[in-house]
Amino acid sequence: MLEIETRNSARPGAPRQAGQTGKEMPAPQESAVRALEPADIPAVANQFQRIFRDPRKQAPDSLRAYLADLFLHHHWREPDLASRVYIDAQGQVGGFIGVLPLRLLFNARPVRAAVAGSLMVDNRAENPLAGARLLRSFLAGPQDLSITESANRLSMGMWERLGHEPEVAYSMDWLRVLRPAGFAVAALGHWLRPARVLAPVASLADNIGNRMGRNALRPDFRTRGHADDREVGDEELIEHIPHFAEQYSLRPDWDEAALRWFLEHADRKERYGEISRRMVYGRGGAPLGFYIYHKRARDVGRVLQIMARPDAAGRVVESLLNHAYANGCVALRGRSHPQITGILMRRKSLFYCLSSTVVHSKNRDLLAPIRSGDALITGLAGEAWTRIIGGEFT
Amino acid sequence: MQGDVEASIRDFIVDNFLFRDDRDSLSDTESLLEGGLIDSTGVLELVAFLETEVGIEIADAEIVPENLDSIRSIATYAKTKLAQVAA
Repeated sequence: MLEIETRNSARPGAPRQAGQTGKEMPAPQESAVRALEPADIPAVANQFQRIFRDPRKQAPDSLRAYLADLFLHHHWREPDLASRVYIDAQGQVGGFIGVLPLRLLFNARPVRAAVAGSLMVDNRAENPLAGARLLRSFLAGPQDLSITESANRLSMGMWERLGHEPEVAYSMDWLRVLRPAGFAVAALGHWLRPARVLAPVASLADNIGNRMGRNALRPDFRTRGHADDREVGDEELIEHIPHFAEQYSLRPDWDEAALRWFLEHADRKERYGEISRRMVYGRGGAPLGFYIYHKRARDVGRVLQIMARPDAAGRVVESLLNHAYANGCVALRGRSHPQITGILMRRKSLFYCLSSTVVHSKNRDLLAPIRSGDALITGLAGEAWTRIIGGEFT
Repeated sequence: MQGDVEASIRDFIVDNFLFRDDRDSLSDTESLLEGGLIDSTGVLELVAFLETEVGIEIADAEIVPENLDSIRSIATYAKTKLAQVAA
């Protein structure tokens, strides 16, 4: 999640002479970018609340606690891969960039990576260069690889000015409609809450359409070969995820404790509904892959991760679509990954871009697997597992 | 490069950030930030230009309006940095 607040931004107007507004410019030594400290959390939480959530309310204690847990007590925390705050001329927190340490393996060698998110700047008129300083400070860090998977139009512009293009294969969101009428109402309901009362009518329309065989989007996949899926707990996921990840030359260096920590964070995304973590098995009970998504009947399910054996990705995707449909989802959406993009495309998914994945490294060898689709750097590996995305704080 | 610093900075800003037709109306002391010509996005491109084309190294703490708010202030800052390197 990368966002720059736009309130109080400078408006183009009559030219003025630099330094002659009557408003004192901060002296160079007064503003600074430094590592996030525990005492900054209330200010960062209030800023987050104003910019990303409800500006009419104070940041709740649960949000403060979560931001501290995420950015100060990350399982892979390293002092020199810290989140950063911009301190303005008055000594106040005027901006923030969240930094999540990420331990990767590249051809079995360890790689230090960092994922940036939650870039926010308060009062741009008085801190016009804060966003640039925060992003530059992040990129100048000691990590071998810098990643963001949530650059919006504004922050993407900053990355582009630095010479970076979005990684298209990792930047698209996909949408697979399951119940057309229900999806239309759910989409409308996100903009206009009262429209949700139409959900039962939409449900009826979709059911009639199904009975008449008119819903061409109804997933009814009779897969080639055997596939069976069931809900699994932490232990089984933790056992199998590293094996599915092994097919990528650039992948997270997850161990049991790390995976447990990431999965615990991913569990609760109240805005998206309850989580489903399902393993798909082939003949003889061999695991083919798994999927993790949040679902709610009559709403759009949010897919966090799909991983599969290379020869079984289609069956895993089909199991997911079948499960989401059986549980009342009107559609599914998630982030594209080269392994599943073609599979989803052939199964009537739409693709669009809401936010981009961008990477930066001085080591071109590290960029090669990303460009060729041989990297696992989003979903559980990126930023989407955090409760910042989809969590409810009250 | 040093003798042309101000001219090359002006050319860069006019070519990349000025959308007005009257290119000559941008004075050397006009505020680029208050005028909305450069924001956080644009300043990254300006910093990249100063580092690669003018040949100065810019510390994070030096990315402040005092150094980057007008053609004159950018040129003064760049010349000071170049002089420091030469000394």
